[in-house]
Amino acid sequence: MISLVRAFTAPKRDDAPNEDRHAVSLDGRACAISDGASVSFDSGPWAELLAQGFVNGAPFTAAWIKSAAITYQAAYDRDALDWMQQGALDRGSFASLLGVRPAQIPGSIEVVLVGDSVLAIIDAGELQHTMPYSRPEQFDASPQLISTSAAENEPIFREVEGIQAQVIDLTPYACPCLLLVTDALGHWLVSYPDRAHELTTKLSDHEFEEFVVSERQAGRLRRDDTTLLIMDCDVSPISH
Amino acid sequence: MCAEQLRRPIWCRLLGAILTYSAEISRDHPTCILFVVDQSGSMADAMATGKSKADFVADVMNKTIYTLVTNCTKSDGVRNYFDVGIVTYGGGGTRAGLSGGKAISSIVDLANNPTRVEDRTRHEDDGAGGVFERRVKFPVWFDPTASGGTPMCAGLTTAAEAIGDWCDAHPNSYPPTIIHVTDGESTDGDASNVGDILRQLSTSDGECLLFNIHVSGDNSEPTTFPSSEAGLPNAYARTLYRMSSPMPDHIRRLAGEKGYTVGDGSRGFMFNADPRHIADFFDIGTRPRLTADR
Repeated sequence: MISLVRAFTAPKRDDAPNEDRHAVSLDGRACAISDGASVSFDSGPWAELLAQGFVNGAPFTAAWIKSAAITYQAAYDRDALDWMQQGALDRGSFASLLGVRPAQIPGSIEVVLVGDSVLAIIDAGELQHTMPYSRPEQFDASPQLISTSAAENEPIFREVEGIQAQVIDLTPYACPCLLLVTDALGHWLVSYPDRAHELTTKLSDHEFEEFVVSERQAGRLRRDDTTLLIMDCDVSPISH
Repeated sequence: MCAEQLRRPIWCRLLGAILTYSAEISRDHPTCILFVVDQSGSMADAMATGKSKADFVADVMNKTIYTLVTNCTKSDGVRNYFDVGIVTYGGGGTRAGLSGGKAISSIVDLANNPTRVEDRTRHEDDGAGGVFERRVKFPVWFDPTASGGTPMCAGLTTAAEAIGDWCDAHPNSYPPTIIHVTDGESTDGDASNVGDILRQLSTSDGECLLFNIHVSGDNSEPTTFPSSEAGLPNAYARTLYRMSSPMPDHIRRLAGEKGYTVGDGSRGFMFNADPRHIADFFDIGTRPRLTADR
């Protein structure tokens, strides 16, 4: 059994919209974060569609993403846009997706992951595992993101029909806790693994804001929209 | 212009060994991209595609600026992540800026002031093995011109003046990238010295990046991102190589992703570049870590 405990998010700057989104299923057992890329026409609504799609059980096939992109584009009147906005809309909006839900196998979770958002497993206050990245320099590469432009998604679907979920067995851990974080915080986690416990204590919203401000000022946390979801795990068998 | 700037590299080099080309590109700290374009008479010569070199370079320039603008465009407007400049040199002497404007303008000013906007049709990949036609508005800022000699020293000196002023005004920004396009030898002296000055101009995040591309109308084998002078065909090519900056890691990675062989000492330089290489060179040279601002 897994369930959301807390969710925090902070914009990269006060005068810009936060383009991270997160969603939680009604029963609290499925969670998703999606990090909308700045180099996008309007990535917040796209990230919202992806995160909501995951917790609502969308299949994440090429066809589903295409239909989500049509929903997204229907909000804009392309012909009425000036050339630069038209060009930006045509180029697409981009977002990562990290979704977690219980797997059929007891004590395991299913993870859907595209892009550079990070899932971290903490056990007894110590960072045990991160995915997809485990080293800071891996965040310097340009990640594959999910786009409103079908052509940009081609590499994702080159060999598979839909985005595959990975199953992770949590039973080796005594008292695991999951962190779902967007890339700035993922970079921080793998850079300072000994401090992972700071994100699993009973953070208040105010303490999270202070953490973000102080780490940014110290140059340890990249200035970016920053989102943290904390999920508790009970690794005893689940009932379906 | 540059007294302060020319003193900076000493400490910048010390710092640079630790951390360079890592500054966040944002509205508060935009970076600068300056195009320096040879408009000498030989640029009227045809390339293998039938288009003149001047026509092709103008087309790539306009597409590059279009891409820069649309990369900075959100639903609520254009964000000033870049300042963009243009310097040309040829029979008409040296010119800075577009439409008689400043050598370097904000991307917002550039977006709002194309020379004209054309209606074009574009074929796009539909992501399912097919293509579809899309009507697009295509802005034009830069028209091809070709006449006279190749006053490269004068052109690069004008560029250095503009870049020196820009670095003074943006001491902590990602340093400027200068994309220099030429097809012939300088007719106003050895451009090595002014190339050295340009590369030494710097911000606290590193020295300016001077990338040189020699465009060719023949079918000679191109040299792309070399890491030594060995194999370059003549003294002119070697001069351009020495004038070119080593590529920072993230730019080398971009070149690698496009299929180019790059190594530790690879420089931002192409010789005998054909149309595909020219387009790649512009794309690689004008993507300085914008993803860091995600």
